[in-house]
Amino acid sequence: MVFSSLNFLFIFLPITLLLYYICKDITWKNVILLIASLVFYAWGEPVYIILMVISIFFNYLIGKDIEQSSHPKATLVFGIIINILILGYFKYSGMIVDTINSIAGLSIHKRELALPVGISFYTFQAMSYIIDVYRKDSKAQQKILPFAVYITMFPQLIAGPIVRYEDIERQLTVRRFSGNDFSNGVLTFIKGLAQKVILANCIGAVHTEILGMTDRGAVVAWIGAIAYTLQIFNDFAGYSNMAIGLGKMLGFTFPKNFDRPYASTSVTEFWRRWHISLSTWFKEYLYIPLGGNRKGKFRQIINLLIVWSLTGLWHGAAWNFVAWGLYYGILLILEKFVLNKLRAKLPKAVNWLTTFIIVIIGWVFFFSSSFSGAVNYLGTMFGANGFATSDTLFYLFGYIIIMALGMVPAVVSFDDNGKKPAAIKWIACILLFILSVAFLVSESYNPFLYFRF
Amino acid sequence: MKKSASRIITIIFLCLMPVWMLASKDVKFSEKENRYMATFPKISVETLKNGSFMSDFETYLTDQFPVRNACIALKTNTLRLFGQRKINDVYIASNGYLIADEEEFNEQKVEELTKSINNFAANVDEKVDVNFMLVPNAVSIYEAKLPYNVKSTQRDTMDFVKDNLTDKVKFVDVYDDLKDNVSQQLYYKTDHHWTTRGAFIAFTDYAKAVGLNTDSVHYDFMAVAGDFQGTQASNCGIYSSYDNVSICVPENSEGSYIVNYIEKTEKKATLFDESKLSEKDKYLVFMGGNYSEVDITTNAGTGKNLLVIKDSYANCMIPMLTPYYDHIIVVDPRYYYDNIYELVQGSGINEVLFLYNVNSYVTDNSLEDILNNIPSNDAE
Repeated sequence: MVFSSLNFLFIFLPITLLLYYICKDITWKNVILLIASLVFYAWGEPVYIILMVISIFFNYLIGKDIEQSSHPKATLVFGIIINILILGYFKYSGMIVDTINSIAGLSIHKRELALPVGISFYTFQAMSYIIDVYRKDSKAQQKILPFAVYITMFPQLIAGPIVRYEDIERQLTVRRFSGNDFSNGVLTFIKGLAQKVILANCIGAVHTEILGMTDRGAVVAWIGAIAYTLQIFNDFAGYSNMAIGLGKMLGFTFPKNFDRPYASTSVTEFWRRWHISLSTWFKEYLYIPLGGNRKGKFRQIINLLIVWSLTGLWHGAAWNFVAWGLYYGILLILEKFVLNKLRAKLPKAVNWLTTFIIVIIGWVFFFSSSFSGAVNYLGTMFGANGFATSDTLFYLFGYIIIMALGMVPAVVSFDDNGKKPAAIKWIACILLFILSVAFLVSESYNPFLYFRF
Repeated sequence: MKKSASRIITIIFLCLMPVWMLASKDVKFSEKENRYMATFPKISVETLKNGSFMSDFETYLTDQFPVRNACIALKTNTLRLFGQRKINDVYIASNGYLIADEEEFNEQKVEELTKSINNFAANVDEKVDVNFMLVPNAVSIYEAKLPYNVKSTQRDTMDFVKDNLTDKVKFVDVYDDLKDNVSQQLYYKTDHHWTTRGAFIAFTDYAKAVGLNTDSVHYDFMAVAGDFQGTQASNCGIYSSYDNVSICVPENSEGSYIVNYIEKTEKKATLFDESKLSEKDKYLVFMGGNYSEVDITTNAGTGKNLLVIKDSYANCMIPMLTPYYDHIIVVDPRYYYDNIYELVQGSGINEVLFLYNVNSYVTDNSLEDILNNIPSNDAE
């Protein structure tokens, strides 16, 4: 199930909330939450739910064993290997086989596997748990119910944020409920829904259309790339906002996942503001254990490159994602060791613009289906196929407003202050909700026309 | 007290929509979308396991959403407010015109298709004249009405086809005359077809090209409907314009022909189907729509027989041709499975007219097969 569906909004969520709040006892609330989450997951992935259940039991037992065992490190390593093997089998086996085939000239048969929804997210959460227990940052969870709730919790199950166990351990058994939190949760959810259904989907359609064109000039290519830049932000941040909002409605506080990323004036800053929960995960559980910046500059550079190629790979099983990750790794290294002094002298506007352009170019690698496709597209952006075509004005004027609107949440913060939301906010959000539902319903508008000319 | 009040409001909000969705009756058929709406999907182990129940259920909810039509209008108008001028491949053009975007031109495909027409001309009797009228769509003729200075490439497509035809095929170029008459309504505002007026201008070009003497024939235009909202209105969900539909009949031919619908084995004395005027798609008034083969016998007494191989643009022009031919056979290749060469020979055809609009020509998938199905002469 996805949040942006009528089934979720008007059937699943009302029923879940009613049952959740009818139960007074936290254990029963957790039971409701667990059942709801399993239904939520099974709705979209009826078969692979078994995989998730196995992952829950496995990591629960590993956690307990790490705490009790005389050789916790071996257990931890075993746990991590199994988690990565499962993730690797489902997500990366196709890519690995393809790569081996093309390097060695073999033709090993590849099984086409459907990627289980959310596996990248819940596997990372599970690993965060066993590592936290090993480091004694958290105690092993003795009860299966709160642990299962941690892994399956439907608000963040399929698209994050990746909640670290350490951050949420207490909330699994002790939660505070307040009317203000609930209200703010509703509003945050609606903001996210509007970002996804109105902004991301409409701007995404512009991108798809431009990408499907056979010839386009530089201006249209830029519009297409910027459209993707705004689509992926609103899609992803919208989903995170919905998750955070739902969390609040259920009494959880999830960490912020996006914080005005396109207002950044350096690449380093961009990655402090973009998909914060993932960067934090890699920093906490990979970069720092590798030695971080404590073992000299050379090791630091190597560590950064490892972290960033894996960050790229996490986003998708293809080499252009690795290229995208390394692109950022190299830029971050350059910034750290070379460019920072220069940048300090430049006006803020220049730093913002160069950063934004770097980010846009990064997304070209991300949306292109191949590396050469990305290079071609970049060529068009920089004038290889002419500046303007006859439809340039159409794209420029036809979509500038929706794209400008799409930029707003990427540079302006709409966070609440935890207080009672003002009436004007309610009015704005109710209008946004009506509009979002209208857009959602219209997506299936599909007139059957006798297109027999 | 206050706390419980806000709780009650929350519960009302939560239940409002679900209850409304449950209470509202399912719609079976949507007039606006011209299709049957999804019904409650079947639950079985199989549909649950493969997830089809879940996706069908979401389709069911969206199809049966209580204020569905209002939702669609709200979205369309919001996008228009944002300045978007193309919705579902329909340009929202000036003066209330909703103009279908042009279909993508694939050079190789069009070249192959055009070759098959050459092939046809080379394989029918030498004395048979072959003419080809390729009609530009509104997107090209009404280019000036398109938003944000969008340009059409259909003139280039027409030139490409023209250049690829052999001398055996005469290309009837109607572009200039349509372009010269843009002040008249040549295309419907809300439909993808041309109007009877547009067809008449093209007919005049055709008469000139093949030497028909139109001086003695007077043509009457009669308005038959004023509330037509065609495919383009449905496609983009904008229902603010209405179209008039008129028919054109040669004055001296009243009741003087017999129309034989081969596939329906039905004979009529008219080329118009008035019953369609009460339906949504009023363009069907012309010949009742598209049929594989329609044979028209007239009392023209000219000794000439015409074969028209066409798409639906021809439907409103056929009546104009009746005073000049004893027989007119109209074939729509999309539904035609017989041998066209045998038809030409067996019916004593002297002239052949290919009539297509650019959008349907560049996407056509049936004409080529029929034309390339040349019977072998070994049997003789």
